[in-house]
Amino acid sequence: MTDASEIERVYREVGDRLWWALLAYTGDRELASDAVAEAFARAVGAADTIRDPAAWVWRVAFRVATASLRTPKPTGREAEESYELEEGAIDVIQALKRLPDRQRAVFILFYLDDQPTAWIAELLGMAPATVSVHLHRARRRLREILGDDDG
Amino acid sequence: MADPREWISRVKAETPPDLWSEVQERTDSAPSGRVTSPALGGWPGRPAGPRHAALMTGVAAGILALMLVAVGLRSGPPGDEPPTPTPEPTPLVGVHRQLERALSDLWIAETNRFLLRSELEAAQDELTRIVEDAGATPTDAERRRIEAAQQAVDANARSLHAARAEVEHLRPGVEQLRELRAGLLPPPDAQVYPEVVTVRCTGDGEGGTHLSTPVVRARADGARVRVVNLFPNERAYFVVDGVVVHELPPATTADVVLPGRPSGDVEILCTYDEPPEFSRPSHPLWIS
Repeated sequence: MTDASEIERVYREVGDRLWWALLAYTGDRELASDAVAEAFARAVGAADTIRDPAAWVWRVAFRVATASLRTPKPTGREAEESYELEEGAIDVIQALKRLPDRQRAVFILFYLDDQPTAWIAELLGMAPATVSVHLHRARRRLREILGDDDG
Repeated sequence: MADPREWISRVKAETPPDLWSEVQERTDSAPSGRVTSPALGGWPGRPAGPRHAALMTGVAAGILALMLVAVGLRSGPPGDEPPTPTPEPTPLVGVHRQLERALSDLWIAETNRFLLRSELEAAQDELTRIVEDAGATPTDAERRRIEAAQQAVDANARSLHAARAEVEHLRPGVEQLRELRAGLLPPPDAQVYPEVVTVRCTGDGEGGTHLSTPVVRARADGARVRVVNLFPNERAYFVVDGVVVHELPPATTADVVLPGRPSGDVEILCTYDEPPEFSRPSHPLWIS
C-alpha cells in the first residue's frame, strides 16, 4: 500500500496540475488551495488503505471543491476573486463558471490536464460516452460565450 | 474561441502555492483514526468549520437518500430474488460471452467516433472564423493561422476516418456472433438457465450493458430482470426493444418483471443522459 512519504511524492508530482484544474473549476484561489490541502491531508490519514493515491486525491479534491462551491459565500467574495487572478485567466474562468459543474470539470480535465476520457469518466463516476457528450456541449457553449472576442 | 487547449492554458499563468506545509498542519491537527474512504469524507471527531459542516451534511443526506432509494427499489416485486447464478458453460454461453465483448468493443469505437466528429466540427468552425476574420487579403500572420487551422482540420479528419474504419471493422464480427448465436436457439437445454437475469449498467470496458446469461426462464407472471446501475453519478435507463421500461438513479438496483413476453429474443440496453445520435448497440436476451 502507500505511506505518507509516497503521498508527499504524489503531491510534488501532481499538486500543481491539480491546483490549476481546481482553480479553473472553482474560479477561486482559496477554494482551490483548500481542496488540494484537504484532499492530501485526508490521503496522508488514509495512506495505508489507498492503492492509487494520485487518482484518489484527484477524486477527493474535486468532491471537496464541488461541496465548497455549493456553500454560500460571504458577500463581496466575487470581486476579491477577480482581483486576485492574472488578467489573462479572468475571462477564461468567468466563461467556465457559466457551464454546469460536470461539463466544466470534464472540459478542464480534458483540455487543461490532457486526461483521457476513460480516466475522466472513472474519476467523475460517469460513462465515458457521457464525458464525450459533456465535452461536446461545453465546447459549443464556450464558443457561444466567447464568440470571436478571444483568440 | 482559439484552440481550447491553448485558451485554457492561460490558467497556468497563475502560480500555484506550495501547500505541503498546510497539508502537514491539517494532518497533525487531526485526531487518529482517519477516514479510509473518499466517499465518507471529513475527519471523525474533527471540529467542523462552516464549509466542512456543509460538506458533511451534504454527504450524510446523500447517503441517506441513496439508502432510501435503494430500499425502495429493492422492496418492489420481485425484490427478494437471490443473486442470479451464472449458468454453467454451454455453447450458447460461450457465444454469449464473445458477443458481450464484441458489443463492448463496438461501443467504445462508436464513442470514440462521436468524440472525434465533435473535434472535427470544432476545428472546422475555428478555420471558418479565422478565414472570415482575415478577409480577402490576409496578412502573413493570418495566413500562418489559417494554415495551422487547416492542418488541425486535416488531422482531425484523418482521425475520424480511422475511427469510422474501426467501427466498420467491428460490425461484421458482431453480426457473425449474432448469427452463430441464432443457430443455437431456441436452447435445447433451457432448464440449465436461471430465472433471473442480471443486467449490469457499467463502466468496466467503456460504459456498457452486461447480461449475466444469454437465456432467462420466465415465470408465470413474466421474465425477471435485476438491473444494477454501477455508476455513482449517472442515471441509467433500462431499455427493452427500444422502449425505456425503468429509470435508475445512480448506484441503485431495480428488480423488473417483463410480463407477457412470448418465448424468443428481446433486445436489452442500458442507456444514459445522452443525445439521440448516440446509438448504442443492444444486447440480445432469449426469454424461454
